[in-house]
Amino acid sequence: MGGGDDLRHAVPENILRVDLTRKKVVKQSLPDELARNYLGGRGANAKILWDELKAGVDPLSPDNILVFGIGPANGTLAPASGRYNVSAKSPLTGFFGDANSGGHWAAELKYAGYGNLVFYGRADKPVYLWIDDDDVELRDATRLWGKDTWETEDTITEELGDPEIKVACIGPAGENLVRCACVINEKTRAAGRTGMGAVMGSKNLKAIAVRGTKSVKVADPEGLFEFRKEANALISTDLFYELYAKYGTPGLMTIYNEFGAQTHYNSKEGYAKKAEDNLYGEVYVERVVKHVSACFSCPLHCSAVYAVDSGPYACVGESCEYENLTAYGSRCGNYNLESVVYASTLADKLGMDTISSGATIGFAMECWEKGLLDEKSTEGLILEWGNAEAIIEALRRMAYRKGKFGNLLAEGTKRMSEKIPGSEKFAIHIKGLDTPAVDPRGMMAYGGLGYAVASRGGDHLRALAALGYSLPGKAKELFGSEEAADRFSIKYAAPVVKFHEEMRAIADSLDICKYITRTALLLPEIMAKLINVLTGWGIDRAGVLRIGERIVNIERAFNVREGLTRKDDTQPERFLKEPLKSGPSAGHVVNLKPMLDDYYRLRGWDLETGYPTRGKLEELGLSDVADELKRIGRLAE
Amino acid sequence: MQKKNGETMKGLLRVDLDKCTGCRTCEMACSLEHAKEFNPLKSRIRVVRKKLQGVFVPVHCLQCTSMPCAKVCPVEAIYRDENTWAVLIDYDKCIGCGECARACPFGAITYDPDTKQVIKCDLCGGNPKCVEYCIDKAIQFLPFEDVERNKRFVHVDKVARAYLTDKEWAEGMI
Amino acid sequence: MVKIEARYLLMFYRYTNKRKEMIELEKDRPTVRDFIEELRKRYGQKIIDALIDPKTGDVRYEPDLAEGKKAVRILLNGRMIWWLKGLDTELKDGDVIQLFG
Repeated sequence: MGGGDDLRHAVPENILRVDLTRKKVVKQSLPDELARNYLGGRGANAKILWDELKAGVDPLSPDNILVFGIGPANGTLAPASGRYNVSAKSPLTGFFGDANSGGHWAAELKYAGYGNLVFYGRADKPVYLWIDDDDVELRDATRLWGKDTWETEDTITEELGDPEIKVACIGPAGENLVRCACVINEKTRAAGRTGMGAVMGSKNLKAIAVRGTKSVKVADPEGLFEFRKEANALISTDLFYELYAKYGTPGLMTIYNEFGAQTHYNSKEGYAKKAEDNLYGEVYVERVVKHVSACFSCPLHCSAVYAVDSGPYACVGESCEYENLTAYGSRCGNYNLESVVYASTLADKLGMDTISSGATIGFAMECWEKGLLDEKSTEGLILEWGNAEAIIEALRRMAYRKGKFGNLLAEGTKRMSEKIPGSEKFAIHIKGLDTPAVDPRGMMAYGGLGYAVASRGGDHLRALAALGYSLPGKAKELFGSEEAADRFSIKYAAPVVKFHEEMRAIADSLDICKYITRTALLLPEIMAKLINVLTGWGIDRAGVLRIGERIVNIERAFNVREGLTRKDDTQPERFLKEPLKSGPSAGHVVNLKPMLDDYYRLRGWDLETGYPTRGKLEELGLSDVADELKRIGRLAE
Repeated sequence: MQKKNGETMKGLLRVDLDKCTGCRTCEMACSLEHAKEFNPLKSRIRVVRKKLQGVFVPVHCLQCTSMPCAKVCPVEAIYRDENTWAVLIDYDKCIGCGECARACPFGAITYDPDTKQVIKCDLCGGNPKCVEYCIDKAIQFLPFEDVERNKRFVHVDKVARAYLTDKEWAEGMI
Repeated sequence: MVKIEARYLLMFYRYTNKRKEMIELEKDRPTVRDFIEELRKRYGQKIIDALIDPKTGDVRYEPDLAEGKKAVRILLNGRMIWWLKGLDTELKDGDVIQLFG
């Protein structure tokens, strides 16, 4: 990493290409243009997948390509620089699959000298990859197959004899190709969404163990010291600082329930008084948190080690997030905190996305309520709202595809609803990806538009358009009107979402955590400063937004190539037609069409088809992408 | 409380284990300051994280009074800086044998993998970088004579809580 | 006399040592300003310093880096008072004020 004076600064040195079928590992220098045009992390992953993955493959076949990516910020003093991305074609959605995780694994990979790990094919027997700086080896994982993610990590670090080895692995869910299976690193951090664990399992790749001891040089060390100082000051006075630093994301349960935009009972309700004394951040901290913890180089330390000391839900774990409290809690009508926390640890061990697995169970509970499922069809699971035991048993059956019903759950909400006539109306997913905790009927930009257009499906993190209550003063500056900060505003949803999507793509590609850029470091000027002290590139505000826009567009092109059209940028019927009945966000539905039209216009995408236009792609230096889309008849001219 | 009127303070690093989150920002600040690059192996403070036990301990040189490292050094390369109270290595004399690292009870002396020399915390000449970048002040630089003084204050706060009204408490606490 | 519920979300717990309480405001048509004054009577100046920027006399919507003061929000029935009449927003019986920061 920048050995001499003018070699690259901060950008990772190498790409590792691993052919699992032939068991061959090739190390190549990471191309400069990849870093310059896409930064790294998610952006580089998207570019590699666009270039190398054939359209139309079965995501669980050897033809899929699995890419891990980190960027220039990882392993440095840049705030919250512990994130990595895993991408592939998603077995859940059939579109761009991408997941982001924290902890310290990403820093370790940076110290080993790799920016991207690209996996092709399928190993004939389970293997794991062991990266020890320049020494890279595919090792037999037959003994590890079947172990949960905690046992897997312990076994590997013991076998290799170094407790500082960082392990990313799959659990039984990934092995069994559960569609929402995820990648877990360091036992409790999850690259959760879109089923990347299933792709990894389909390749017989059990784990990636890393140990890195090389140095990372940056272009302007004094500048980075200064940047971090300023960042610390901005972050510690931010509106969300105390929420994250003391309560963690569970503090968001407090906020969104008070807004009346919280998912309860599979999105039938947006507010529940019961949440106050059972699931609010204050209650979570009081009852189960033992010690605050942090990802690499993070001043926000929004995580916590938790434990339930005794009783049927006794457990220990870390990072029980707001989404978990929703997924296994309010979404399923379950207000028993300890059971939710237990389920959270279980999901980590089994290696399943908490949002999707909880949402599928919540969906099944509504099916039960409406008489579309009974004890016979659920093979004994009593899926009444709030039945914590059933939630926990359902998770186990899902992970192991146990029984016909367990197998059905493992296929995910969308496929399950296709097998249960009449249930599609309340299958709450977009493009097959279950929507997250915040009810879009209370947050138009964040959820109403944001979820509909997110490249990976029903997702809040592509946009995380948190402007709604965060920067009213800035709203006028950025979008021309204070109304842009109004969470019910339809008029300004499109520019708000566009801007945020680009800034989130930047964070995901530097690979820093989006939470520190939630409000405090959101601005492109600030990101430009960070990129420059790291790399010395001299990029400006416009340059930053351009890279962000490029990443969004290449993901869009990937999706269009896989068959996406405007009709996929939609919302579940419930959000379009059923207003919330009670609480502070009552009476609203998502009026998607005007927001979507505005958004496509701003993005330079065709209003009718949702395809990118040649003009926009060429503007971003993507004329070859335009040519490819034209060749398959999916370019808007 | 670091440099006063151009003079450095005699102080010690002190970690509050309740506050340390295991983020390792201190490692980054330290390695950048001393080695001009990022590498935990070049940091003189190393965090041991036992995550699921909720135990995060930054391990650094405690500038021991009896200096066991100095005692075993065959070339007398380790000495006390009278200005900062830090225990320092004279690299002109150091032969890189590693006896000091072996003698240190805490594992606070390590090897720089590139220079192959031993490295340890030198308190950054009296203005520790790790302290500057720890946002929660989990690691502080406190006067040598009274490094545990915070404990008295914490204790008294607990006592005071029992006697004050909500308003008195709110006015006085923050 | 108007009875409202005050909720001290997240950080505000520190100033009041309670998560919520019912408060009676003397006036017939009290505003959020009157509520703030009541808070000062009960909990002292520190909570006011956190809520109100003395330079503008309005809610601390933006952080004050120099003073190390965080940004905060005041919500009425789940809606930021910014969208209503700010501190001059009138309160009715049964309203819920949420302080968050």
